[in-house]
Amino acid sequence: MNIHAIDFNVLLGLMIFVIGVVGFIIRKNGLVALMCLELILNGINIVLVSFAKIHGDASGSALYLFIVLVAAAEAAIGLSLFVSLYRLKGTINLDEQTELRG
Amino acid sequence: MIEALNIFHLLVGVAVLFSSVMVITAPTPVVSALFLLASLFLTGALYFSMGAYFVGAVQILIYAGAIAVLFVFLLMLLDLKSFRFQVPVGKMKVVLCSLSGVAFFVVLAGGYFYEIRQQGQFLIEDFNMSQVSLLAENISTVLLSKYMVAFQVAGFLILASVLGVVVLGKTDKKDEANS
Repeated sequence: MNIHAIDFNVLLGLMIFVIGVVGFIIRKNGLVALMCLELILNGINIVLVSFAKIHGDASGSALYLFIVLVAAAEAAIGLSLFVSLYRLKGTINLDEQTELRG
Repeated sequence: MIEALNIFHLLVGVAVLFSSVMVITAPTPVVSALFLLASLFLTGALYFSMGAYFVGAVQILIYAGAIAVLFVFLLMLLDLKSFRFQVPVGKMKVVLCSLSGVAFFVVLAGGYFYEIRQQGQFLIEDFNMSQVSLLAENISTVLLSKYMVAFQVAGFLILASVLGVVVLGKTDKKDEANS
């Protein structure tokens, strides 16, 4: 049985996406949650580049660059938010951030 | 003709998957960050094995070289002692989340196979032939013509995030004097 590269890539990307989503829910550390966001975007990138290749359309590769850009902005903002939070409260455990609970 | 998956591509894909799983199961954030670095780097290798050289280079330079290193750098700034003991997560929660994750994956994969593959949205033979969409020349042509406005807006997004980081990172002089 032949597994074709496009099927392999799409399934791999979807698996990494799901791993990111599951990790985002089960981990309590804020930094690991941010890493899981990176995993989600990385899974999407693999699917985008594979579809760009099979369709022969450079739009997919261009959108890849936009996603990298959004990931960079999100990582920078998220990390500096967690640094401020750490200065304020001495912890970045997500379960202990209960100020907004009604 | 349909070529089978080459062995390098397969091995790199399995390694990406393994390091992604390790990111969410590693005991400490430092180990998670290092596995994230490995995962992003190996994704670059996956792009190279697909023939996407420009995309792979961007992946390694920006993703693995800047974003993942930012995580490792931040872990050095924070106090590592508070991370030494992992907060226990309920076993029930892990099992239920994993099961829902598997179900979610089945839905996504089913959508791919029954909606995209069965409907014949693309010819599978094209995968090994076309390199056109992956050349830096064609990517930049599309980026600067079709996505010109989005490209400019993305520049402003970066500018806004830089300003946001500066504002968030700035310590207030008055607060320091009071404390």
